Amino acid sequence: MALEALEYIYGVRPGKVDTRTAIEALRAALAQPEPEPVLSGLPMVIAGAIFDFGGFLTTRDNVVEIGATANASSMVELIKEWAALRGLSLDDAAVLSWQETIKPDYAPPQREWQGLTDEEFNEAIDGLEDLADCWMAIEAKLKEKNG
Amino acid sequence: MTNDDKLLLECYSKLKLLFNPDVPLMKDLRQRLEKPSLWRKRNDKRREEIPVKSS
Repeated sequence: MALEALEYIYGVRPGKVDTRTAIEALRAALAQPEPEPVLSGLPMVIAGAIFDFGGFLTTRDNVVEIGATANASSMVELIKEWAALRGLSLDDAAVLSWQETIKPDYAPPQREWQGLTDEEFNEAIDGLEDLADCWMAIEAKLKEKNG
Repeated sequence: MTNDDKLLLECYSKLKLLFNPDVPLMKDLRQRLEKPSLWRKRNDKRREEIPVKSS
């Protein structure tokens, strides 16, 4: 979107601002190959927690039987104990949906759109007369409010 | 409506308070909102026309 805006402004106002250099920099950045995916963010945290829980299990004095024929309550108790030790709340644990949230194409629910108040609008365009300048200032303010 | 659409719509509605909607940039913005595929086709053509500095 930023590249498109700059390209348009360049088309109608060549030389007004140094858009040509900015366009070339953006084009060069977009032409770069995508970096190799590395474990980061939420997947990294989840992987760390799993190893940590496994480590916690190996420190237990008693042997716990786990399997389809065993009672699941002993595992639940161990999870609760480990969570309490780590200060982790188990309320609303995403037992079924967590796998969706770590997929690379997962899009988190969007926050409600925040428009500009009259005061913010006036502040953004204060002292500006040029249409393109006002556009960029309003856009910047809206992006600031909406991430 | 995506956040990009909302951003564009609000930019246009705010700019409309300040500028004549018949000036080229405002017309362009309106077309982008109302006929995005047509706008994109035009913009792609415009983009091709921007000279690339030879190194």
